[in-house]
Amino acid sequence: MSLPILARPGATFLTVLQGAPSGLVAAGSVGVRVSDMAGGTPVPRQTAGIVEAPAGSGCYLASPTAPSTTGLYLPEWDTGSVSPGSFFADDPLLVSPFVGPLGEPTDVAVSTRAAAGAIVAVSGAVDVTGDVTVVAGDDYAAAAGRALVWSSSAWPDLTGAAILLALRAGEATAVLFTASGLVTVPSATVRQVRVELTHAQTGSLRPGVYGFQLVATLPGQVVETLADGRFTVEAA
Amino acid sequence: MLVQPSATFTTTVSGAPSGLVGTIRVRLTAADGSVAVAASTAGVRELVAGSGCYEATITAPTTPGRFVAQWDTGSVSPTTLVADDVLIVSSLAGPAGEPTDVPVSSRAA
Repeated sequence: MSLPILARPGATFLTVLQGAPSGLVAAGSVGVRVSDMAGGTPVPRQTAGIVEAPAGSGCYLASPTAPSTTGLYLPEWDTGSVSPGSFFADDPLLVSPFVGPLGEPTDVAVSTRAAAGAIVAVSGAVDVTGDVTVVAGDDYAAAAGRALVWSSSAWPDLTGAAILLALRAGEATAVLFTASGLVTVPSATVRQVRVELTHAQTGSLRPGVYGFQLVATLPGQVVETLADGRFTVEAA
Repeated sequence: MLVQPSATFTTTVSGAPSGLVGTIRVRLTAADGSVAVAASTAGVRELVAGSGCYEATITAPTTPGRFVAQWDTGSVSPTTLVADDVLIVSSLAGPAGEPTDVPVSSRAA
């Protein structure tokens, strides 16, 4: 079984056709599309942007735009008609917001995140990776020692910054939830911010996995994302 | 495959005729079809004599992007050229090409 191609929703990815006859770009007959393997074609067949490289090789490269919806898809090539000898499928395409901008796999090497400057967990709800897990309906108050706290030595001076936590179901989707935060250590070697959530706020979230973005708006309206990753809401 | 810019990575091909060291060559082509690393026979070895399975260690481009390693048996045609898996060159890769946490580590780099 082949490993899937990875892409963020709406990002481009590289798909390759090899062993085809050469000269099909000039003929305008080679095309690629992306199917949902359920009869749909979220990315219609396209012939633009396909290159044969090297010339005469019968090896074609294309960088289509992935579907905007998370899921498993299949890049499908054809040489101008559909038949067993003219239709080819590349490796499956997995579209997920939890992928790097070039399609890099993510969330594997915790040690990388523990390197100097990486985010360090100082709250039970925020793990060493910077990701968050909360229980729907629970309070996450600083007074109880349960606030969501992130820290890093790599952030800029946060003096005067406004902090906002935003949740999305997927990278390309609308913001579902926001909560304001607070800079607790603005300019020491390791800066720190925190977000408190009430039981009403966590109770408003359906259990599941969201993408979160922790954003600082610095003086002068300079906006910087401090962290992003998974925000898991567990059922009470 | 995932690799840091300028790091080395290994590409392999199997099912080729055996005994092609010195003839079989590998190149790296960018997603737009341009040549990233020119075709070369240097450093190519047959993994096990007689196997028709070859490997080569290539230095990745300095610029992040998507590439494909392509092998040929000394000439270029649909029957003599084979592409390896897509190669992603990214500064977010680990030193040995291991996946890392992009959202967090990229902010904290």
